[in-house]
Amino acid sequence: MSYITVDHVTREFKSFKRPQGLKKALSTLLDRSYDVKKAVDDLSFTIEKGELVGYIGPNGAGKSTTIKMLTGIITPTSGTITTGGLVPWENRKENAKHIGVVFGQRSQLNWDLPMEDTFELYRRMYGTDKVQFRKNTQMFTELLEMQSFLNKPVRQLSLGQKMRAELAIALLHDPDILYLDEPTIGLDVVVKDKIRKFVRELNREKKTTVILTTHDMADIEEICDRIIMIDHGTLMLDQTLATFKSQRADQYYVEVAFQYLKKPLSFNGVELVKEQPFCHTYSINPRLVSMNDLLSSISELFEVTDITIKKPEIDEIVRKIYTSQSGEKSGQL
Amino acid sequence: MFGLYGAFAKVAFLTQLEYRGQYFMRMIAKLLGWSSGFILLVILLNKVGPVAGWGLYEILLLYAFDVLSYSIAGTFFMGGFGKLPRLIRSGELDGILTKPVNPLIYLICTKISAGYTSNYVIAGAMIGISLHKLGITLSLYQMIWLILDIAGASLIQAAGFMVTTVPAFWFLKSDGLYRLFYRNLTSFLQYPLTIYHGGIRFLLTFLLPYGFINFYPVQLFVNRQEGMPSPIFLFLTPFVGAGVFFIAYRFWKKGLNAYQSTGS
Repeated sequence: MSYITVDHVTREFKSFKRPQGLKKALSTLLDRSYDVKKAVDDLSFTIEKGELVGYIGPNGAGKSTTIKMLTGIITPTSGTITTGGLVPWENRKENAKHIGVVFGQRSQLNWDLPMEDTFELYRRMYGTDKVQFRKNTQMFTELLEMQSFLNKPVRQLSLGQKMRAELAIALLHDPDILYLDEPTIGLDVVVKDKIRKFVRELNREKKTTVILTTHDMADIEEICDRIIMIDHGTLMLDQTLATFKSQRADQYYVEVAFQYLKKPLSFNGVELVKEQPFCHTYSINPRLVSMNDLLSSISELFEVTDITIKKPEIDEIVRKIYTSQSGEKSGQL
Repeated sequence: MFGLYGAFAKVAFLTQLEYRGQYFMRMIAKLLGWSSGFILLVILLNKVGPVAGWGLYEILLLYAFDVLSYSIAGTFFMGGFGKLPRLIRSGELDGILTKPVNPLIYLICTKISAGYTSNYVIAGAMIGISLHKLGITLSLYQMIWLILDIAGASLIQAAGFMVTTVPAFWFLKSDGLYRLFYRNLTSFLQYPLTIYHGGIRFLLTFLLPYGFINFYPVQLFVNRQEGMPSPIFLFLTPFVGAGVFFIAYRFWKKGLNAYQSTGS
C-alpha cells in the first residue's frame, strides 16, 4: 500500500443561502435553505514515501480542504484517507507526531518568545530526543541562516525570518510528512530561494515526504518532482513535472529585436503575438516550422540586433489549463 | 505530560507580565471596578438594612464567593473561550488540531490570563473581613469545605463560560448566549436567592445551577438553611461543580467534532 492514500474522498460544506430583500431575510430566521457545496468531490490519489508533490489548483479548488483532511483537522463526508498507515482524524494525536504543518497565512509561533524558547517548548510537546533535537536545531539554523535572530522575540522578526522559523519548528521532531500550505506567500526572492533549497535539502537528507500547495509556480519548478492539480474538488491532472512540461511544450516563442525589417514573418505555424517598435514576438508551432527555416527567414527579413527563444514557463501552462477549465477561451500570451 | 502543559501556562503567564504597562493598567482597572462594586453594595445595604434577613457582611460574603470563583474560572477560561469565535475564524484552532496535544488543555494553558490576580486579593480579603466581622472562626473542617466550595464554584463558573461560548462551533458567533445565560443570570447572585420569585430560584438551582456558586455553600459558614429543600444542599457545590464541568467538557467535545465534520 502507498504511504499516503486518498480514496474516493468527498467533502461537503453546507452554506446558508442568503436571499435578497428584508422580508425574505427575516423569513430565513425560521426557515433556512442551504446550499450543499462539494469542496472536494470523489478525489483519489496516492503518494509514496519521499515524494515531493506540488498540489495546485485555482483559488477555491479544494486544496486547503484536502490538506485539512490529510492533517486530521477535518473529516471527509465520505471516502477514506490513510497517511503512514493511520487515519488522520481518527488518530489525530498520533498522526500529529508524524507530520509537520506550515500554513503560510497564519503563524504558529508565540509572538513574545524568542525562537530558542519556542524550540524547547516544541521539543517537549513532541517528546523529541534531546540529541536528535540538538542536531536538528543546528542543521536548520545553519541551512536557514537563523543564527542572527534566534534570541529575538518573534514580534521583532521580519516576515521572511518568521517563515523560516515556522519551517524550523514544524520540522524539529523529524516528521515523515511535511505539509506546506503556501509557504512562500509574500516573501522576497532571496528568502523564497532559501526556503526552496532548504526543502529540497531536507528531502534529500531525511527522505521527508512533502506536499506543497502554492500559487507560485517557481516553487513547484524548484521543489517538486510531481504535480497533482485539482479544480472544483476533482482531480484534473497527476503527472511528473518532467512529463507535465514536455507534453505541453507544443509552442515556443521567439523575440526578435531589430534595426529595420523588410516585412514581418508570416507563414503557417508562426504568429505575431506582440508588436513593439523594433521588437516582435512570435509564437512558433514546432510541428509546422523547423528551427532552421525559421532562423533563415528571420535573417532574410530582419536586420537583427538580438534574438531570444523562450520555452513556455510552467506558470503559463498552468494559466492555460486553469482558464480553459473555467470555460473561457484559452488565453494567449 | 502535566509538565508540558505547565510549561506552556508558565510562558503564557509570564509574557503577560512582561507588558508591565498594560498589566498594571488592567490591574488598576479591575481593582477599581470590583472594589467599587463592593463599595456600592456596602453603601446600599447601609441605607436599606438587611435584605431578606441577611446582614451586610453576609451579603458581602456572597459577593466575594462569586467574584473569587469567577476570577479563578476567568484565569483559565476567559482567554480561550472568550475569543473562541475568533480562534475558529482565524484558523488558530486548526493549528492546535495539528499538534499532538489535548486541544482543551492546550487552549487553556496557552491562553491563561494573568489579569485576574488582583481579584484574588480583593475577594480573599473580603471573605476574611466578612468572616471576622461576623465573629466566625473557621474550624479545620470548615476550612476544607471553604476550599472545596471555591473549587466547585469555580468549576460551575468555568462550565458557564464553556457552555455559553462553545456554540460558536456551530454558529461561529455566540456573544449573545454568553451575555444572556452567563453574565446576566449570574448577576442575580449578588443577593440571597430567597428575595426572588420561586421560579427564578428553581431556574438558578436546577436548570442553571448558579445558586451553588455562593447562595447554598455560604450558608454553611453563616449558619443558615434557607431556600433549600434539604440541608444536603449545603454540601453539594463540589459535586455540582464536577458534574456540570463534565457536561461542559462533553459539550466541548461535541462542538469540536461538529467543527471537524461540518464546520467551515
